[in-house]
Amino acid sequence: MNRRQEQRLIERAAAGDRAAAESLIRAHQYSLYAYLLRMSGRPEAAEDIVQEAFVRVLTNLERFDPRFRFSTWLFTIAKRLYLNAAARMKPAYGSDMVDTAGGVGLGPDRPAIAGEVAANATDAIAHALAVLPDVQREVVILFHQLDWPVSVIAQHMDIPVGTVKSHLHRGRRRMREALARCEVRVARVAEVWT
Amino acid sequence: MSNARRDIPRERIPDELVDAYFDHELDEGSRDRLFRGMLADPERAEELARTQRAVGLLREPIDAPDLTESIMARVERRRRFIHPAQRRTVRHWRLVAAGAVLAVVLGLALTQRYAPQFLELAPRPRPITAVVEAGRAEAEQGARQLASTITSVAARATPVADADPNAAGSPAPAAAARPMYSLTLQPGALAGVRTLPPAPKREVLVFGGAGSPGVFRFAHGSGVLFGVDRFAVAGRVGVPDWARAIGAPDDAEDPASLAPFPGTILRVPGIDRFVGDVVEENSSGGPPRR
Repeated sequence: MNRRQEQRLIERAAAGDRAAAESLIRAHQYSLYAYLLRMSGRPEAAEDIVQEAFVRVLTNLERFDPRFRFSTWLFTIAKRLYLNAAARMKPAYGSDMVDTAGGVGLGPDRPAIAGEVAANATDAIAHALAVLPDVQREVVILFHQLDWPVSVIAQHMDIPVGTVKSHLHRGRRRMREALARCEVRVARVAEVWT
Repeated sequence: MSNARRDIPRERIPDELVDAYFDHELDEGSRDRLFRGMLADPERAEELARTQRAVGLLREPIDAPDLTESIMARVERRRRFIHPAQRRTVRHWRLVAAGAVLAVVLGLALTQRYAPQFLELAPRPRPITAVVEAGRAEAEQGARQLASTITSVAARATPVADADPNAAGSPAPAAAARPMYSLTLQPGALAGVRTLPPAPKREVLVFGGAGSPGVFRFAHGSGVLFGVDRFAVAGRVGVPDWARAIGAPDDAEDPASLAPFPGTILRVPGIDRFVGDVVEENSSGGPPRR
């Protein structure tokens, strides 16, 4: 869906077209959920925030400025909701989970079946993200997971492009080092994906 | 050592090159240089591969729930969505309602403009001008009574000119044949019809504007009502427009020329009403008698 098509959907949804509103949800809910899940590490929290963010957006569509991206607006609202919720939540990423080579419930002797590898991969990436400060985590997720351009990330986070790149480089480096500490799990992932 | 390995640069791959690669900013030539460097630097190659795996893990699909219905349920609790077919119906009736309101407003405006009496819910309080008009009506009636009184008295009065015509030294000008009355006007005071005794005073109804006090002389027996405009104290009398309009002469020196016009009722807009003393002038020159 290009921006023109999306703008027409927004206009129709603002006029009360239910189908247009549903199309908007379906176009963005996956990326928003993935973003919030990676940020928070909590599926339940990610679901709640996704729903609340869409409700706020869809009940205020007349305020949307078409000069900006709809996704940027949606993610900005979601981020504010996440930060408010994070202030109340116990962090899902515990520092004692990091730097542990064995990880949670896994050992080097367990056979590498597909589901377990996927679970291991999920754990690995969760651990890798957990070592990052919030700002670096967000930049890495937006760039590598959601394919946002650096300029859009800079606008969304209200920081210079150079700062975004700096966070990106450092974030990748720290993720790589965290993965190196989970060498066994990574090796099992490599067995599946090579 | 193979020929291929002899051509490979041995310096460490710079971090900037690796970062540019993962930022998708590397041109083709730089990418080739990077890959050649990796062949000579296994440790660096392993780092790059590990970074590539991390990025790859981020891009793996997530098991995300479909929250569409639950979102729409929440939205509709705050703002209802209407089916497009129903939306057309709603839009149609909104236009009808808007048109009806417009018609009512237009109807009220036109009625207010051309037939305001139909919009009056309660009798309006009468303005002061209505009271003034009522007062005028009463004054006119009084003036008519005055006129009839003057006429009847004049019929009984003995004109000076009818006195002894043989009296010596007694001038008997035609103008003196009828008794003269003078009315001293005091401006600014409210007055009205004064019903005077039959003789010698005459009932006078005076309309007048603000002005200096002056003496207005009128001939007895005229039995008319007249309006008074500004009059100078010195006796010069200007001809009011109302008088000129009905044929009064331009000669304003003699107040008597402004003697009443029989049967004429005049009104002057914006009048003040004067009080005055009607004095019957003594034709013999003696002090006036009231």
